[in-house]
Amino acid sequence: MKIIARFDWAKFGLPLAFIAMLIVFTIINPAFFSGRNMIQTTRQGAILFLVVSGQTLALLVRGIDLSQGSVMSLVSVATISSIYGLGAYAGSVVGILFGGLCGFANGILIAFLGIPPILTTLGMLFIALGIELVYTGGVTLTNLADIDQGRLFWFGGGMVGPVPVPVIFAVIIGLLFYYLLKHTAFGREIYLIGSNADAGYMAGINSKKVIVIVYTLSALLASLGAFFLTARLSMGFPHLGEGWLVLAIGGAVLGGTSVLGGKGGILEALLGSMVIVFLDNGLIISGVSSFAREAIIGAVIIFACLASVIRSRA
Amino acid sequence: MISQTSTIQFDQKSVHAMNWRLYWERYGVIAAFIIVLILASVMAPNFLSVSNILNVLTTMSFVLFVTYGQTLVILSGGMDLSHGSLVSLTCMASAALVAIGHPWMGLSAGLAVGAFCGLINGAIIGVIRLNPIITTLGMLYMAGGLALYFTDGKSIVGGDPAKVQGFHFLAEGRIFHIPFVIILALVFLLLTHFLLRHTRFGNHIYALGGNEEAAEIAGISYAKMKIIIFTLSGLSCGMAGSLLSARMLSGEPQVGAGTFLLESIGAVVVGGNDIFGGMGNVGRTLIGLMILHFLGNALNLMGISTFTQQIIVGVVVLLFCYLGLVHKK
Repeated sequence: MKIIARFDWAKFGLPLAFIAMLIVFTIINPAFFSGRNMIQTTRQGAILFLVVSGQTLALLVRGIDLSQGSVMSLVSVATISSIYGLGAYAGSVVGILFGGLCGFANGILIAFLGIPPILTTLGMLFIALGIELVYTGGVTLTNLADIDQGRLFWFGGGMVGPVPVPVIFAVIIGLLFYYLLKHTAFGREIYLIGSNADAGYMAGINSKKVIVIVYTLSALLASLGAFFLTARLSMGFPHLGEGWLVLAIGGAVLGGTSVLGGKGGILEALLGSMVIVFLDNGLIISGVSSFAREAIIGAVIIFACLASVIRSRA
Repeated sequence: MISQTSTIQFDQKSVHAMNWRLYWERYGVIAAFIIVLILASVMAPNFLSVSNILNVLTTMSFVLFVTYGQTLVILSGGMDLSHGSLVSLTCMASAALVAIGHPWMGLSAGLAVGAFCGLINGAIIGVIRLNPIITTLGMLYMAGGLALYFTDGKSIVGGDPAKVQGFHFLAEGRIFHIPFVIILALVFLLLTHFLLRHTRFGNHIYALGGNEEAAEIAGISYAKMKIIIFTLSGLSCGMAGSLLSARMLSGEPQVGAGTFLLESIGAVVVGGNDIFGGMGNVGRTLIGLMILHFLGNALNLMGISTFTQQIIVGVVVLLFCYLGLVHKK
């Protein structure tokens, strides 16, 4: 009993639940643990991880980014239509920069005009969505030139050896942000602003600059996720980002990042996004309908958050 | 004890500036509404016809119910993001019973499902004190999934036309040429206003939104209040969902997926209620929603795509924030 009591549930509870979940799904259907399925799922997980990391940054400075989903849709459309004119590589960069621009606007509005993050990003949610829907008229953009389609598809659907390309990008970006948050002055400023903004001000942190950068990065990471999804589909889908906002916030909070700022990080984002992606995949393989899956994932997010709240009070 | 003496020196000029600011905060939204009306009637053809105005008001009324619930939630210092999906879910629940010939049962089922989902939200937020945004975001996802799961994403149609006439009247009927749903929405506006301004419960909502800790010290039960408020918010979605099923005589699993949530929060914010609670009233919400709807309608009449409406709401919310018309403590 003593061992159980001394066991740090807050730290290892979720990883254990994650492993237990993997085992249960493997028993239900052994195909779950097959190499092919694992590779496909990590591809999906890498994309979610990028989006969740962006949300984590916003949550760390005690903000929230509600615009991620529609920024993703915007990027999908912007990427494909830029590729029409600029070719695969330059077009992709331009498309992703469009997303970054939305984030930059968010940051400016929040930091310099003092509009609360939740309102700013809610406004941006609809502005970005409206812009891309007006631009496309709600129609999916297809018909890429063959050469562009081949180049673009590699980013989303390609493999390097046994590893999907998005996973490689996600690992590099993840390491970069881990270093940024844990080992640089900028990372510490983010945590300080989130946990005690007044103290941050007294310490001479230029919090406006940090906030603008954070929201730009949040949108850029979501844009990267959208880019990989778009690359895999090879088309500009105006509803690409629907439903991603819940997964982004849910993944971040599930992993252990606090909505009250200053607590959490990239490892939490990784864990949260992996749990969601493998849960979703396991439910598919167990034959649960897609609509029921949405309901189950919603419930899991709530219950996991409940557990964390109860734990923190005990 | 920390003794603190602060001397504020009022000179005539700054008092005037303060007064202007106060007036601007209080009545600026009404000024904005009038400007929208004038611009719309000048620029959009046929905007000022009776049939157009009634049309806008009718469409608006369905959303209005939801915004009442949102007003209660936001005034008490929370936010309910589950509105869109709850409308879809309650519309399906209601339509399921309408289709087998029990319209009034359908209405009750819609209300009950809405209230039940709201109760769950309220219990999680009130008792366990989970963040309202996370809780209702989860509920948004869950209810949205359930609404689709019922019928595998298909709509529910059918029902005996003779039996559902009275039910259909709720949404489509007219009394002295005025659509019944507008009257219903106004009645509920008055009820909500009464609830907020003339009952102890309403006072407690303002107290909770103004200063949570102080309200609790004063003996207001946080858990009880949150449970009731979110149940009412869910109930308001049930009302909208049932009325939509009465209007269409069918259940669409994604009826609330469009702009419901946006308009419900947008109306409260644009109307000038404090986004963090404690200040505002339901009349402001009405004006907020009217600004959004009349603006959208005018642009529609001018031949601008319906998708622009989303841009407009976004821009209006941000612009009003910037102009100081949106309260943010």
